[in-house]
Amino acid sequence: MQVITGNKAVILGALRAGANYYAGYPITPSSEIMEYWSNEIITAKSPYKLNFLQTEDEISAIHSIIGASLAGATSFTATSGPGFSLMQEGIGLAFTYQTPIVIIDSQRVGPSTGMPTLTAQGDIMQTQYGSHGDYKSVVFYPNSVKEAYELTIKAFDTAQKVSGPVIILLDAFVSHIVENVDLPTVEDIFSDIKNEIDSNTQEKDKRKYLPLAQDNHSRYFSGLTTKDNLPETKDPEAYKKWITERLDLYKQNEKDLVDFELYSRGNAENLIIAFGGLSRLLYEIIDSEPTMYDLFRPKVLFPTPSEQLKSIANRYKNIFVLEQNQGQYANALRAETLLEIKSIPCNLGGYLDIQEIGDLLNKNTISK
Amino acid sequence: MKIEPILKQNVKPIWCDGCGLYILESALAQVFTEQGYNQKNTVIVSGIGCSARISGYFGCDGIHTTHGRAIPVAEAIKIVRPELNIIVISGDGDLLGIGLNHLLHSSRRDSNITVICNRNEIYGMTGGQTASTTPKGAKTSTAPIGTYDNPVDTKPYIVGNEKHYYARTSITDLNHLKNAVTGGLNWNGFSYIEVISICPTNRGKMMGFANPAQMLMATKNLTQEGNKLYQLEIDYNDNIKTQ
Repeated sequence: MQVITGNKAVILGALRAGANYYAGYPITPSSEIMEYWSNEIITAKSPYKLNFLQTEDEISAIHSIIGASLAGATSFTATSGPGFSLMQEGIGLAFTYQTPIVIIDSQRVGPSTGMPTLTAQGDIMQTQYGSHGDYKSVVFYPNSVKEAYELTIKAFDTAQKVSGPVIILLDAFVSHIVENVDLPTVEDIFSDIKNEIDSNTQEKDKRKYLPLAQDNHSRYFSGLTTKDNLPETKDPEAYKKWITERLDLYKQNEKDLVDFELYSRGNAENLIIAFGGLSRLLYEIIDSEPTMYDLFRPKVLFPTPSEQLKSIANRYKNIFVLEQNQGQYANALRAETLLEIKSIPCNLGGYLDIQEIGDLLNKNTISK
Repeated sequence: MKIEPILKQNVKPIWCDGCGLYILESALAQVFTEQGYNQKNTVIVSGIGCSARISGYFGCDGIHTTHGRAIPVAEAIKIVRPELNIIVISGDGDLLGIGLNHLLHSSRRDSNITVICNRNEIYGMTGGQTASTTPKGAKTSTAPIGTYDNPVDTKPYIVGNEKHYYARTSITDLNHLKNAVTGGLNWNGFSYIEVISICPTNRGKMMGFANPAQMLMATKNLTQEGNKLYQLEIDYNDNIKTQ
């Protein structure tokens, strides 16, 4: 057992998933992720080469992990809202290059500098529509230290499967919560990986491309639409072929990705959809009022668990999304399920107060 | 000299007739061939713009990144795969405008890459807008009565690092250009080569040149007149005091 934060669990998960390259720029509340990597991981005696680069800004960080991934590394970065905004152009580039990368965004109260040390959930839509053009990204969102470890491993695996950017959302609450968990230590992970290397049972790279300079012919990685390794910027057919293949890959993986928790203590009439730090308060509220509320908690926000939600919707009188923003995820779910999903915006200025949230729920459910 | 293997044969560059990039491309192809660079040991990284299209024309893996971000991508590749030759080739709008920040920091970190900048003093691909390198007073499509600001001088930025390799060279002097590039490629650490070049279409027309040859001759004269921004030189220092 070890007593660690969500941020530390992310590092352990990344290491277990085979990550060997981190580039980033410090920003609260994600900074400890970079500190753990540079202090405890890079300096440890590892059986393989690990890399770290503290870049001059987040734009450099995202492009650095893209370059590292092209070169063959398993790379990731961590940031918060303002840095996540700066990374958006690079996220679109990774989608276009088909480069697996993992970006961790620990959310804080915004917009702009906002309240850097306090928790919020304002970046949900930025994970989907933050970059320009038309693209997709998969989003994981744990609500505990143990789950931060597990979902980070899944996120790296998914990045390879979809050959593109995968985002792990955290919030200041999940980043900084300290829990007593049964997770492997850094030494455990190193020795496991060493055994895998020695016995040659390491999982093979699932990415679509060989690392740079290892293929037999030259390749061209470009943000431009390309055809046969050459820029093709005026051929609608080339674009359609490429984007169809690209989106199909996401479609193929959608079923396996959907992941959620349904927490129920009785025949409740209201379904509350919540995630991340905020969802932790719901367990207690439900325990005290089992016939009022059930919790539906997506661990993967995108792709959305639309089918699963539709299949249980008729059990409930009301479906609410409780989130620390003005209704971003409620909008997404409503659009995808066409269900009557109500939004309970709950931006309490960075604090999670169980009394206040209980009152907010009662007020909304009783008036309906 | 045989230069086919390093240049793709099935590609026609997008550059205008008379563009300085043709000269730069062929000079680089000669140097890369002399150095034994090929698909298995070299990666070329570029940003956005006319110059940046060059990464798609060489016969090795080419990476065409977003605007200004070639250096962060290149530096990361070198960290992961130190055995590869990593070369950034891009334009001044890309490297000295939107991406200047990365040039300063990557040279400060002494990342082991070579950066080659095609300095044509204009945003060529987008139609001739003022660049950070456009000389003061020059007319552009966004400065109809002439620019107000001084052009960027990269030399102090690079030689400000105690260990450095800085070259300013020109497409009008092929031998100097090839020497400057060869020196940079063999330099152990960050090397920067600025190549004075021409854009006859979007800069030349505003300067009143009748054809690219006139512009080329005028540029050659500039490099011989003693103006510090056009002086051909190779300035390096690896004599670092150990502490």
